[in-house]
Parts: sequence; C-alpha cells; structure tokens
Amino acid sequence: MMALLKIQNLTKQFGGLTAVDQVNFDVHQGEILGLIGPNGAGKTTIFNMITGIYPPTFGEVYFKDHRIAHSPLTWRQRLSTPVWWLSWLPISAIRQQWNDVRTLRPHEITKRGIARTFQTIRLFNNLTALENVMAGPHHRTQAGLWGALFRPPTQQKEEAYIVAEAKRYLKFMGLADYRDELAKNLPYGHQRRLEIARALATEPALIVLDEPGAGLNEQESIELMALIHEIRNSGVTVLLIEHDMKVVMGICERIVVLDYGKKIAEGNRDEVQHNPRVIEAYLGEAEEEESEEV
Amino acid sequence: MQFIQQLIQQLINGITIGAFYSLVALGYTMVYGVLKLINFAHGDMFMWGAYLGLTGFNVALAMVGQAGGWSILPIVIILMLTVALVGVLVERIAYRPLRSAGRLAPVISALGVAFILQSLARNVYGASYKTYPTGITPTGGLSLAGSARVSTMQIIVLITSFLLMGALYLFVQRTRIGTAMRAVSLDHDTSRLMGIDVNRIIAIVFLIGPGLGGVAGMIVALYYGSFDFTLGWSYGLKAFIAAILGGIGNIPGAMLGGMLLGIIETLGAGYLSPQWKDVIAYAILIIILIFRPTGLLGERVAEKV
Amino acid sequence: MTAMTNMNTTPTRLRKINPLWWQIGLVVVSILLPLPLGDYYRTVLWRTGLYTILGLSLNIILGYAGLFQLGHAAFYAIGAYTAGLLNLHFGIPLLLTFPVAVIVSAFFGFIITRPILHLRGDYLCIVTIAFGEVVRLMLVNNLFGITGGANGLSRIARPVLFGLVLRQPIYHYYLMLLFLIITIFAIRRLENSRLGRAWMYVREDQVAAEAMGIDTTHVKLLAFVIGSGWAGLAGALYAGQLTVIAPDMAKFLESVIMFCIVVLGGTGSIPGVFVGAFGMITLPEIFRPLKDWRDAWLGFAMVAMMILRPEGLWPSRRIQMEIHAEEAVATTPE
Repeated sequence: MMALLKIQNLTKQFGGLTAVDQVNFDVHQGEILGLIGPNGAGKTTIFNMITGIYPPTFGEVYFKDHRIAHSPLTWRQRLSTPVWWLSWLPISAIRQQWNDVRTLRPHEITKRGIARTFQTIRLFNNLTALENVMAGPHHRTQAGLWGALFRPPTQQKEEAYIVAEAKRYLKFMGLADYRDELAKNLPYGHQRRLEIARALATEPALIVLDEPGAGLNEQESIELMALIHEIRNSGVTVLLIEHDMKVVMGICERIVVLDYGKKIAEGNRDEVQHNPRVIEAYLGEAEEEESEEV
Repeated sequence: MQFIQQLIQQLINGITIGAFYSLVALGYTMVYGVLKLINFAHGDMFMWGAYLGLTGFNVALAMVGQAGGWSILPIVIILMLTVALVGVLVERIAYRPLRSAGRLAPVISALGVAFILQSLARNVYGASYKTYPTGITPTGGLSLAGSARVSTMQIIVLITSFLLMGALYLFVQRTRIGTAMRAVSLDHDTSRLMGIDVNRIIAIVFLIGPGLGGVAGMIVALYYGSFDFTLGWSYGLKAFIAAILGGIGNIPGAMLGGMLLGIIETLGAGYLSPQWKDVIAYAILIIILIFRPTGLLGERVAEKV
Repeated sequence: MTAMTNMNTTPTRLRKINPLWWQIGLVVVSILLPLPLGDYYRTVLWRTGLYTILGLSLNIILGYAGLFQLGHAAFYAIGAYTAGLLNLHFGIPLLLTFPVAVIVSAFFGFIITRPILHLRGDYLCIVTIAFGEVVRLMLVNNLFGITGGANGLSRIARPVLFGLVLRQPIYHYYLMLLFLIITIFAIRRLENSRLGRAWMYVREDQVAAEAMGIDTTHVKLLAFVIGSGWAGLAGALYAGQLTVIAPDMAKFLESVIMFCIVVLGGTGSIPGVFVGAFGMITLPEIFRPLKDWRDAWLGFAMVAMMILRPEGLWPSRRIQMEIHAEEAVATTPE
C-alpha cells in the first residue's frame, strides 16, 4: 500500500516544552487511521503541523511524496539555498522545487488535498449552512473582482457549480434540510457534521478529523461512525484524533498511540488494545476522562 | 566638543519629553493590560489635567495672591483626584457596559468619550492657546559641561516623574492590589475565581492611570508654557506609541518606551529636521508593529487553535 | 437565550433583491430631491452623498472583511491630490483624472497595507491611524515639493462635461449621484460573489477560512485595495467641487467620521451607511447653531449607540444577529 502521508521525526517544542517528540508514522492510501492518546499527548499539535498552522521544530511531513511541512529556513539556510535566490523566476521547474523548500501556508496545504476539522467547532457562525459549505469549492474556482462586477457567463456557471457542489455535500452529510439555517443555530451534532461537510467540499485526498465524536451522544456517535466509513468508501483517506475509545475501536483499521508527545504503539486494534504501555498510559487517564484538552 | 555638548543637550531635552510620554503611556498600558482596550480618551484626560491646572492656579492667584511655591501641592492633589474621578466615571459609564461586546464597540465608545472631553474643553476654555500665570514656572538652572544646561524646570520634571513611576512600580509589584492587578491582566475569569473583585481592580486602574495623566498634563503645560485643546490628541498618540514601543500592557515597558521615543524624537528633530519629528515617531510605531508587535519588553504569545 | 430562540423563527434567507420599482423610485427621489432646495442645502446633500461613497468604500474593508481601518481618509486625500496635481501640472481635464485617482489610491492602499495584513484587531487599527497621519504629514511637509505644503493645492479646474462647466452645486450633486449609483450597484454585486463570500469567511473566522483553502492575505489585500481605490474616487470628486484641497483631508477626524458612518449605521449594511452619513454629515450641517458642540454630540452619540444599539441603526441582519448572539453567549454559562 502506498503511503499518502508520511510523518518523519516530527518534533514541536513550545519554549522549553516538547509537545511532540520524534514521531514517525505513515497514513496509507484509503485507510482510516486513528491517532489516540491521553490529554496533552500532542495529537492536536501534530494536526496543526500537518495542516500548516505552525511549522515543526524538527522533522518533516510528506504528502503525496512532496514535502509539505518542515522547520522554517533560517536566513543562513535561505542564503545558501540556490532555489531561494531563483524563487521569483516564473519557471515551473524552479517553482516546484521552491515549493518543496519553503514553508507552506494552511490554504496551500488545503489546495494540495488535505482538509481538516477543528476540535472546538469553527464554523462561520453567521452564515447559513449552505454558505459554509460553499467555502469548500472556493480554492478550485477563479472568479475575482471582474467576475463579481460584470458577471460574465463563466462566472455565472461557476456560481451555479459552487452552489450545486455545496448542496451535494450537505446532502451527503444528511443536512439538506438545514440549508438556509445559520450555522450557529444548528444543534451541536449537526454542527459537527456541517464542519465535516465543509471540509469534504474542498475535495481532499486526506481528511483530518480532530475529535469528531467529542460531545456527541451514543446514537450520534454511531451515525458518525457510519458516515466516516462512507467517506472512506468514497475514496477519501481519513486520519482522526479521537478520545472516545468506542469510536476508535469501531472504525479505525490501524491506530497510533501517543503519550507525552512520543509514539508508544502502532498497529491494528488487537495489537494496540493489548499493548502494556497503552494500558498503562490509559489507566492513569481513566479518572479524568471528561477534562478537555487545550 | 561642540558636537558632544549639543548631543548632551539633546539627550537632556529628550529625556524630559520622554518622561512626559512615559507618564501618559502608563495610563494606556495599564488600561490595555486589564481591559485589552485602547483607551483613546486617555490623551484627553491628560489635556484636562493641563486645563484644570490652569483653573487651579488662577483660583490660587485670586484667593491668596500667589500661585507659586507650596500652593502647587494642593492644586496638584485636587487636580489628580478630579481627573482620576473622571477616569473612573468614564469607565463606569462608557466601558463597563461593553465589557463583553467584542473589541470594536469599546474602541468606538472610547473615541466618543475623547470627542466629548475635547469638545467640552474647547467650549469651556475657548479654542485659543492658553498660558499659565507668570511666576509659577521656576527659572534658572544648572550649567553642565560647556553650553549644555539643565533648567530647574527640567530637574523638577525628571524628579517628579521618576518618583511617580517608581512609586507605581512598587505599588504594582509589592502590594496586594498590585498583584491582583497583574492577575486581572492575565485572566478575568480565573482572577474572579481566586476571589479578586475584578470590577474594583479595573476601577483602581482607571483611578491611577488618569491621575498620573492629569499630573503629566499640568507639568507639560508648565514646561511649555502654552497649550490648547489639541494637546490631548497630539501627546496622547505619542504616548500611545511609547506604550506600544515598550510592549503594551507592560509597565516598565511604558517607561522605557517613553524615554526612548522622547530621545529618538529629539535627536531626529535636532539632526534631521524638526518638521519630520512626528513622522519619525509614526515610522517607529509602524516598524515596531510590523516586525515585533509585542514591543521591546513584551512577550510573544502564541495563538491557540 | 431568548435572542437565540427568536432567531430561529425569523426567516434566514437574507437580503432578498428589492423589487425593481422600489429602486427606480429611490433614484427618482434622489434626482428630484435637490430641486426645491437652495445652493447651501444642495451642497449639504452633495457632501452627504460624498461621505456615503466614502462610507461604502470603507464598508468593504470594515464591514465585509472585518478589518479595522482608521486611516481611510489618507486614501481620500491621495485621490484628491492625484486629481489635483494631474490637473494643475499637466492640464488634464478633471474627469479624465478620475480613473488615475482610483488607480493611484489603490496602489497606495496596496503598498501601505501589504506589510500590515498579518496584524489583527486593534493592532491593525493603530497602524492604520499611524499611516493616515504619516500621509497627512507628508502632504504638510511638502514631500516632493509639489503638494503645496500646509496650504494644499488651489485653482483646480472644474470638471467639464460635453462643454458644460460644472460650476453650480446641483451639477456636482448629479455627478456625485451618478457615482453613488455605480458604487451601490457594484457593491451589491460584490456582496453576493465568490470574493464577497471570501471576505465574510475571513471576518467570521480567519483560521477556519484559511483551512478551507482561502488565501486570506490575498483576500484581505483585495478588500483594502478596492476600498482605498474607491475612496480615491471620492477624493477626486471633492477636488472637482471645492477646487481647493488641503492636507486636512487626511486628518484623523475625517477617518473617524468615516469609521463612524459605517459603524453607527450598521457594519456591512448599505442602507446603514446612508443612515450613518445622514447622522454624521447632514444633521450637524442642519443644526449649524450647535456647531460648537457638534463634536460633543457626536461623541455622546457614539457612546450611547455602542451601549444601547451596538449593531447600528440600520444593521445588516447578519451582523445584528452576530452581536446579539455574543450577548447571549456572554450571559449564559457555557
């Protein structure tokens, strides 16, 4: 199986604190990989590095064999990198090399095919559900100022396409009836699903879900698991952080376990479940189950 | 030799002006610390300090026939209390109801208060330049090396402002209220859970900031001799730049920022051209905000996602 | 919480297009409006319209993209000076300088705001104040020896349209009205476009917008460039009417007035900008006797509005809900 996302020696330090320490793992094409660990184990930090919200201190992330995250270049490194000097040239070969060297911004990573959701839901609260999902096709459409002002046929076609796409994804996530509802007025479970719909609308190859099951009841969790399966079956690889063991064990083919920023186990459900280090890490956690990770 | 004398003179002048900036900057920085609000009205409270000083001296002249010497003391105290009271009232009326209303509303409200204070001053005292009665500003001074000299007024300014700033620093670092203030500036909710009366602490901040600003207003008016109702705006913005330069929310930072700004501005005016003085100050602000928005002494805070 | 439940019952499809006759009616009224008035009030109307254009241009930046711009007057002045200088030095007819004024202001908007785009909220607000003041001081200090220093420029030729010299206020009113209608038309189209939505995504949640593949830097820059350019047009219109321009156009008070027009009327709302311009420009002109106390009233109105009606007098429905929702969140423990 091909590795869609490769994480190599990924490390993040905040001041003196090492939040993520030399983590290695691969996400294979077409699988559902679970990333679990006790509170503060560094799961969300890894997600933020994958999606470009902040750069790693050391280590790299490869997506479709292109480097998308690494420690930012120091000025010295920039000066000694020939591509940096030539980066302004409009030559595609150079541009491509430069893109592997520079720090990508989150929107560029999304454009390359990674979409994400957030642990604390971040919808566009005062826009309707439809308008929220319409953000997805944004990066593969073009219309700018002139299109908006003069509305040429291409722009009108594009608008129709955006609306159609958004409706399709709303329907896929079972939200078709809530199209014109403001995002913030939706029930919590629907908001979670709307966020996933919005992420899917960017047409990613990999979707990164940050605790999609947090705050859901039993019934909603079950529905969510089915949906995640469906997402995978539609051809999108899934990487998810989850706190709820039931969800993880229910849908993930492979699981990576983190504790204190380090990877302590990797493997299928049984391997992980019976790994003594995992049991140890989770025993201490059992009492403070409900406390939220920052 | 000529050059060095000139430089020393410029530095002395710069530090004096810097002391004003620091005093006013403290008010901005303290309010920003506890409320994360740019108190645009602060500069105008400072200006009211200058006008109230004028009234005070005129009253003193009329009552006891002289306005110099020790009669300054009661004037300063009354003036400080009045401006502080205005500060507390402004907070109570215009800012407290907006505490949970996002960031835009308090800024507009602060601008509104600034307009009110400015317009009041113009209508009460008139739009023309005002001067303090003669005989209050002490004359004379000390000669330093060669032609460089420190005037008595400059010595008074420096001593007063350093005393005030030192007292404030000790207050914030050593007393219970000061500790509570620092706690509130970190997190309102946690402070409240720790048993701190957040509203009271904020009121105290609005007592101290404008109080110091009011005194600074009077000293500035004494130092320059004349002023008008735009004093608050011009000085306010400069002081605000000083607060940013030092790292807004940071009290030693405001003092440092004020001094630096005063010195840079004076040197710039002296060696480049006086008309570019303000542009230099704004350029500093822009450069600081682009490259190090936390200022010189501020700490970098990562945004939570 | 009551605010939240009420909202569920209100129709959420926003901004239905007005019936055509309604729009035509408004245009006809605004054409007839100045006819019974004297020159003084015609000028007042012209000024109100001019500030409406300015307010609408700032509304793109502040209302749609949510960026605090408190130095907008700088671009107004840049536009006026561009038009004035081209007219005085090269004899270009004023109307032909308009596009240049737009481009030059937009260009300045680009170079000034490009380095400060990463700043947020009140930091952005301060830098824009500083930039506004720098522009004003540059004009006062006569940077290139052409801006006329503190006195500014005078004897700018009046605009000429098909041989008709626009001298009377009424002509300027109609010229302004033409551009005002164009502005509204353009802004309504922008509002409901891919770009307009991108602005709103950025305003709502910048991190989420970025995660959705929106180049936030680019989108914010466009808001600044378009808004600044259009303010430049208003500056050129001003230069044509007054024929005298001074650095005071860029002063902070002007920026504050524009800011208040947008906020007091209702951020993000076109009718709100009209209400704002009426309150900030027309009323003080009508109550001239109160002129000395104008600033105090203005300040009082600002404070009172923020406390009693923070969403503005004629808010866009969206923002209104946003503000009330914040209150609801603030008063109910999570």
